[in-house]
Amino acid sequence: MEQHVFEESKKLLAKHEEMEEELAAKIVSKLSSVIEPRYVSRDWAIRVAYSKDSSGSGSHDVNEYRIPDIVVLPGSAEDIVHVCKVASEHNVPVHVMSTNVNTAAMAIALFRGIMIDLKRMNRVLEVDRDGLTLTVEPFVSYARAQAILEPYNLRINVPGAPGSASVVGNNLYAGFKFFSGRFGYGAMETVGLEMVLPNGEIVRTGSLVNEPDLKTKSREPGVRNEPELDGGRVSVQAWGPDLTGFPHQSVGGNGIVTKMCVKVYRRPEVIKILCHGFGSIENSVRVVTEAAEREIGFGGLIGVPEDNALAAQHSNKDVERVEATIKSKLKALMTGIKVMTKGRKYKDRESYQEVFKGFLALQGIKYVNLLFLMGTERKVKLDEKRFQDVLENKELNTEKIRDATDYQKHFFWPYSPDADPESVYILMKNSGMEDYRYDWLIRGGKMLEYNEITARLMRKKGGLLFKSGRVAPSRVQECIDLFATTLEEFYPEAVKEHLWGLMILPGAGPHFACVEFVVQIDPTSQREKDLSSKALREFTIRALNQGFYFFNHPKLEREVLERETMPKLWGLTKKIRDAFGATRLAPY
Amino acid sequence: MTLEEKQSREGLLDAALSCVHCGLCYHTLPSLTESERFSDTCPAGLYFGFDAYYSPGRNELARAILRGEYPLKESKAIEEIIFSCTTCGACEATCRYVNDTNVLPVHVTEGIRALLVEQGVGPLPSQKKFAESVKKVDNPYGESSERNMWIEDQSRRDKLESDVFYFVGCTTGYRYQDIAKATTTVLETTDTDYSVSSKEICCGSPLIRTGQLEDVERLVRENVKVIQESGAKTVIFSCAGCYRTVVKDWPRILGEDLPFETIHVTQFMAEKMDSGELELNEPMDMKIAYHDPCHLGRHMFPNAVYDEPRKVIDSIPGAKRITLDREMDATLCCGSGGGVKAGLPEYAEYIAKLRVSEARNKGADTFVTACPFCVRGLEDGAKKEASESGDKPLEVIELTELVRRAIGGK
Ligand SMILES: Cc1cc2nc3c(=O)[nH]c(=O)nc-3n(C[C@H](O)[C@H](O)[C@H](O)COP(=O)(O)OP(=O)(O)OC[C@H]3O[C@@H](n4cnc5c(N)ncnc54)[C@H](O)[C@@H]3O)c2cc1C
Ligand code: SF4
Ligand code: SF4
Repeated sequence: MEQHVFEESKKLLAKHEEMEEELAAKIVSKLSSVIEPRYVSRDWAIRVAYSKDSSGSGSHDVNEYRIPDIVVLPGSAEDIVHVCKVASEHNVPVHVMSTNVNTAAMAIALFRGIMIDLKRMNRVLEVDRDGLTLTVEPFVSYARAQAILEPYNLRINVPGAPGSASVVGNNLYAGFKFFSGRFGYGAMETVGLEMVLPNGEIVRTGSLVNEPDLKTKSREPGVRNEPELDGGRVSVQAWGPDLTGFPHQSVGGNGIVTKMCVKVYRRPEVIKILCHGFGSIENSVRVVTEAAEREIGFGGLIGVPEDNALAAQHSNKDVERVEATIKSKLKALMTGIKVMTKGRKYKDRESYQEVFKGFLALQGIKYVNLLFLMGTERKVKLDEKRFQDVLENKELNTEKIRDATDYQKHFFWPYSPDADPESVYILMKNSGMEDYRYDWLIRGGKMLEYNEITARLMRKKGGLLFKSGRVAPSRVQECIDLFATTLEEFYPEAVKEHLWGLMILPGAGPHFACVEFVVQIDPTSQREKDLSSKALREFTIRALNQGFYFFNHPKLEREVLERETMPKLWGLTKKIRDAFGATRLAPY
Repeated sequence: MTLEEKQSREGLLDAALSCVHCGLCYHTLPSLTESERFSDTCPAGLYFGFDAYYSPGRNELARAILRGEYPLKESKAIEEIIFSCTTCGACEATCRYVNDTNVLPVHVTEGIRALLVEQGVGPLPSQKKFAESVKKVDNPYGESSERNMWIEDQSRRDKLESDVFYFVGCTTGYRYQDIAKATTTVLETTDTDYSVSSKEICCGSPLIRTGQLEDVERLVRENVKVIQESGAKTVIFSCAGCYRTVVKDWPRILGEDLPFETIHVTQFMAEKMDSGELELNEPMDMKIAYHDPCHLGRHMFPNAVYDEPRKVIDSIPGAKRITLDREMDATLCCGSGGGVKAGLPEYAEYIAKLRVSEARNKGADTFVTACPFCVRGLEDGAKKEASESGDKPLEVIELTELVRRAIGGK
């Protein structure tokens, strides 16, 4: 199966060759008849900028950087309608990107053709303080959205992605967010949208069906207007038969969203963060599930480096060995810090790994695993006592969590004006971010800072490959086993030699857990890249077939995978697309 | 090691590939600005729009150039993309907060510029003139008159064994002599034993910033010789661009530490106010916004000069300092940096106008800065903003001139 998907995807890629010069010139000229010519380009120096995303690669398995043939910066839905029509006329694929912060080459022009870069569509249109919605265009990041909401004492549910990720792109991707435990994942928070269908029709759905004129604001570069207030929106996804879900999870293939109305929430008075270490993976899963069942705002994180729980389970490593490795990691940590502070690049694999290990140790992941919880006290009372009981009664390895309890002290971070900056600072210091300005963390109690930290982590991770998906809480262990056996089968060294781990986030309350597997590879080794992506690809297929939803497979393989593993869904999508006289909106 | 070696292909590629496309530098960090409305900080990106004009996109373009992925000559846009970055360092500052220090967008831009120039692509036509003039008359303005004749006390010219050497710079010396005179007023008021030189030449900044490196080493070595011959132990600067170049670029070009101390006049003034040697007594009824020159702030990391100019302004009786949304690391560049004012004047003026509107929006009536180049950019921006809004242009003034007024000078 794995080989089959790979081959098919390669065939698909090969089908798309570079555009002939003559055709390109014709298309550029047609596009420029409606869109300002300065915003249409065929120049390679412009196009080449679209060759990479946050995955650090242009196309995952393919050893080449794919770039679009033409790039266009539309200023309105009408501009996009024009692009769709021109593309349709010439049977040319169209790709779209909001902020390109995804990590799966989802917005890379794998099939070449036209790239619609939505950067000019950057307006925050409306804050509805009664209906509790925010209406934005695609190039509005979570950071900006949250900044807009701050003064109204509102907040948006943010993902763990960098604050630069767009609200639109992330909800379309069905974003998994900090408060998904309470409010659901991204797609569930979209209450209406405006999109351009593949046939060039503009459709408005849900809360945006009766859209007052939100178009009057300036599109001058660098000039922003205040958002409109209180458009009297009714925060509902459907006013009858509804197409709101249609563009979601379609990686730009079913329609191009030009405005989105999303749910926002009154800011909770208190947010607390709890972090704890565990002696076994079962215990942490139990606590995480408990948190999910009790709908405590935010989920948890369990980090498992090579030498502990998972690896121990599968490679018979004993606790002493784990302890010894922890010590060596701490030593490595010192080396790591030196390398980091000197700002040197980790050229060779060893120094890179040292830094990485050290970094994990700094993160507190020197313990068998780690729970990271965030709860709001407004709606759901985070019962510390009860929680503490859960922690204590479930065979916590208290020796190992000595520092973790320290962490815990600092992680109980009161989300209020009298927050104790010093403890937050200590926390940051302990996390290896001594130069991080701790006042960010408490200013206005923004969640954004966390996003910034994530980006920072991402930078340090470098050669980490992720696979994340959704799993019924009761099947988490089953899913972990599947991952471990697949990895062992396809890339045995990864189990023995590499750092790998997982994160579990309890997801939409008791409904599912978000599970994320991480494998560290040497970013400079093609062999490791090949082997690990092979293993990850096969795991995705097996997982999908067993009812675990692992979704961030590369755009390239999406069509093949979905056709194979979700024939019903795929067939239905195709039918609707055909009904719209679908053009060539990539990837289908 | 020469600058060229430092900016080797390998080094540049390394920096460019270190960008993880987190996109955080599209805007400034929310924690650094007071308002979402003023969170754009990349002049090139916000004006031109395509990803290639922002740091992550330009890093990929750098990669493609360094690896020779496409023929340079087949791109018409390449010159504008590479030479429209004001090298303001806003992206670099954001990146530094959230990532490692390996991604050095300004370093990449300047390195790529040098590489392109070598291959006959760029600089922009009016930037070429800098280099020609420097070659001929040692300053980018093509001025052939003798240096630093403006000084009232001529005994200061080429005075030997003074404590302080005032490095005036070409822009101040030839175009903004009032700033030079105000600086000497500050030096005299504080009884400083200083000199200026008739032999000072261009510090190399306009050439380094635009990738025209041919004459740079000569300029640096000659200047160092002139300073050493003066016998002064400390060099003072009123130009942020010269200051940055001398402190950050000269040592890498020389391959060794500078043989003298350096200080910017804003630091000097703050010090002298602390010691009581400089007092600002003249009341001034002004609402002042302060613009951080990129070269005095972000470029000086980790020793950005942010507090001192603010301290000086805050000591002026009657003056009220207004905080802008984008300040310090989040400052929106005046639009003039990196050779952009000469190379792409319309765009430079647009950015300056945006910056002036921000100050106006906050209720400032005076825009103070600490760099002659920013003064020039912001003055044009103020005119443009006024012509569009119908208001009187915002007054733009350099800090030493303001101080001269505050100590009772005209
Ligand atoms: C370090 C890191 C951590 C992350 N953590 C999380 C996390 O915790 N939770 C989470 O949910 N995500 C996470 N992500 C993924 C990231 O949040 C999403 O990929 C991102 O939000 C998608 O938004 P975007 O604007 O970047 O979309 P893009 O990358 O621009 O596009 C993503 C996909 O959506 C399509 N698309 C974009 N805009 C439109 C539009 N207007 N109309 C139609 N289709 C469109 C594109 O074609 C593409 O296929 C993380 C990413 C990183 C780098
Ligand atoms: S240095 Fe300034 S102009 Fe250049 S890319 Fe960075 S933010 Fe933009
Ligand atoms: S330059 Fe730095 S902040 Fe900007 S996208 Fe690259 S890594 Fe992120």
